Amino acid sequence: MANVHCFTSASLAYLDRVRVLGETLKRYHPDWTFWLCLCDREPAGFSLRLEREPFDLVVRTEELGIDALGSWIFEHDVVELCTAVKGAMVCHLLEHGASRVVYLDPDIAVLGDLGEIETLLSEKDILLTPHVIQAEEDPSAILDNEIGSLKHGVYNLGFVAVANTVGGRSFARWWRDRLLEFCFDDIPNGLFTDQRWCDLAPALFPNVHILRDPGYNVASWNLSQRPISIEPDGAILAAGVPLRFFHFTKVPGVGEHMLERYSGGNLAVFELLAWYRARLSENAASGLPGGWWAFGQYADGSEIPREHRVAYRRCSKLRKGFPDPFASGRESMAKAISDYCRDS
Amino acid sequence: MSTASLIQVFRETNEMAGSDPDRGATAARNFDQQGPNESQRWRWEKTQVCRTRHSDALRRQLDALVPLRQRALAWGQAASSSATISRTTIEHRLCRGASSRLIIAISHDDYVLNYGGVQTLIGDEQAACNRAGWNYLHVSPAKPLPFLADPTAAQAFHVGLRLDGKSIGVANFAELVAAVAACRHKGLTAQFICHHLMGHAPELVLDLIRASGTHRITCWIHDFFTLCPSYGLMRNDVAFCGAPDPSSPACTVCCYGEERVRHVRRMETFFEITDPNLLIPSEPARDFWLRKSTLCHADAAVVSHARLVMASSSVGAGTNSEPRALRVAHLGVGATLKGWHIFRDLALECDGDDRYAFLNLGSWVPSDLPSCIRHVPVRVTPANRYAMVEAVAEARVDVAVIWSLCFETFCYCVHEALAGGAFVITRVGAGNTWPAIERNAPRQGCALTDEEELFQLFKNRDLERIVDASNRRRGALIPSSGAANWLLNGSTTAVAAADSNEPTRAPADADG
Repeated sequence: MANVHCFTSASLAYLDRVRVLGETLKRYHPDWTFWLCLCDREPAGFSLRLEREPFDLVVRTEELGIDALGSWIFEHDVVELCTAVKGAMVCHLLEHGASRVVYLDPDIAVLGDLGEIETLLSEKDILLTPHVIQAEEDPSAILDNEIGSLKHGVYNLGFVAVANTVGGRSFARWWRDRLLEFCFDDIPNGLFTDQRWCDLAPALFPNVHILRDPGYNVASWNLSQRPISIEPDGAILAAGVPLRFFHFTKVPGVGEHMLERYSGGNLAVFELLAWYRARLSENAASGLPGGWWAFGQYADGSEIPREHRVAYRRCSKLRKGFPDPFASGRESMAKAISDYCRDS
Repeated sequence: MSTASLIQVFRETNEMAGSDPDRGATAARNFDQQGPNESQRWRWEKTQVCRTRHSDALRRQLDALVPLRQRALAWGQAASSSATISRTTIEHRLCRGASSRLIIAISHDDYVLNYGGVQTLIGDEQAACNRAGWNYLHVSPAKPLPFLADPTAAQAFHVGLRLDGKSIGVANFAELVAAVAACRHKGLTAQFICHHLMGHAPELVLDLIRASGTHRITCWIHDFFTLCPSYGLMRNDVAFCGAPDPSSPACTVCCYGEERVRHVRRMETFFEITDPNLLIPSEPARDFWLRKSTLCHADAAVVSHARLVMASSSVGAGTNSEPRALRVAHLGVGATLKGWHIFRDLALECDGDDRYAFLNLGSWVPSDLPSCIRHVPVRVTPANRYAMVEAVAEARVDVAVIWSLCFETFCYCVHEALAGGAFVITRVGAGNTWPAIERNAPRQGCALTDEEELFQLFKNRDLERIVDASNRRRGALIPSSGAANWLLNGSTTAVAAADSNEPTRAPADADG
């Protein structure tokens, strides 16, 4: 049996989602090792107890061997950070002997067998799922889903799978290096976190497989082409084939509007949504302060504006001048920027 | 770093930053604030049609879903708080009975205090057993639950007891078992009928069966609780599921799925030990149950909840002799499960069409009753069990729409509508609804595939033509003796014609 290691990457605010991913993954693949790459630190009085969690192991950002970690973390907002570690985590798992590494976003729920991934990785180095695999016809869907893919990346990096082969390791190292330097939400400059980089993967790496099965990575952006049905035999189908995993992007919240828009009134979608919300509620992290992210505030507790992070990552002088950007007080970067904002 | 240089860096970098990566959020905000743009409109309008037909009510139902264990807390508030009676009291009451023969029957609630098809049948069964010289002990959980009671100690589980229809109190299960065992040692002969296990712990019920000395129990399949805690097999209370394998993805996303795994395991044990004779109220229900169940059983007989005898002559020309709107009715509870939302949408779509008048016949007024539907209060009680039949006739209902979303194992409504002289429109795949029409009055109803067909039928002139040509008759509903005939006489024609003195309305009167 293949030595499959699956991981997700999240802050503690997404712990409920991680748990749902874990419990659904374990239902189909109890033999896979499931890791959480934690881009956060626990607040006082809160601790992860692995024996009660559906993930087997936790790797913290500190364990990924990233240079000048504090400065590096500061450059990223929470989404950027959680995606920026993915390449390093793939390398980490491959280096520790995983024969196959599968990444799944925390807001994914596994609803079918993923054995095909193992099989495909015995021949292919890298598996990617495109956002869309069928041309849209409706102008608004073209705008949302096709042009959206051009802006955000052809492939959805809620899923990527890598074999521990020469080609797989080569991809992992390249992706890690790029993400350590350039994993930002900066569409005008051609970047969208980890995702746009993988547009290059099929060109740079010869043994990439584009997984076109519509049962994988069903989400609001492809729902218009992949109607969901729940059959009398208990199967859940997407575009007529077994649903493997559903990507509940921004659920609960604005993602529900997008699912509604592209559901075509299909009740099965809302059944999935109701189930997912119930599972999130069941798996809520009790004792975690609302909106918690350890790297979201300066040392004095004030929220770090995105503009401060952008400034810091773009300017080597700032990074050199303030090696501890999270600090607060008279000599801190926070103070200097605040003074500027007040005076201007 | 100087403040001046920092300011410059900050200005430059801020000018370079800024994009809205969240296309979803932006688009959704725009959509919500401004409505659909032209390019979005066709899709939006398409989805609106679907919603009005089906999704709105079902989505409300989904939004209101409460986890099963939380529901149990609400149900538990109806628990009886009566003081418990002792083994000796139970023993005394059982042994003091007129007969040394005792039927022990269990079901999910007190059949005297609650009213419905199953409760009526149990009442009839009790009466038939009493007439045949058997006492009838009914056992129901003191604390109602929407699933099997968790395995528990007999001393901690309380049940309500009725002997021959009269309450004898609340007892803990250990006392009940001991009392039955003691009576048996004094020569009592017992038979055991399981109507429903909801709210019971099957492991304790097995103790009671053993104490009763019953060789083979009789088990009713009134609904599909033996297959799933969702007794109507309604996945998430919105869609008939067909009872797939409990490990299926469909059960994974169903609010009953987690409970079902334990439920099925306990049912398997119960049926394996009891190997019961099954009574099922219709052939479609029996066929479905046999196809979907792997539970052990010795036999599976069809025993109808009631028998419908149709009059030989038609309702007559009176109904439509003078031009008037066709009276179209929904019968019973205004519940989504019973297709109320479809009926409501149909009435709204036909609002202003003078060919139709819509009625709702039931005991309570649905909260979402639109002005285009007239509510006709009908309260069916044990004392007036044919109130619905009479109301259909008195309101001169031409068409009853019985649009159950679930699989009806018998469906009183269809029988009541036919007995009241209405033409019945039902849904293909709603269990016994269409087979009941086909068997009793094949020209007095039709089955449609889906809502689109239903709405189309009302839109064009087909309905008036079909109803005019339907040769509608009235009928009489004759109650069943439940398991009594089957159990005591070995007859599967367990209707009460032979042993009931109260046929409701003779077929000859039906035209009245």
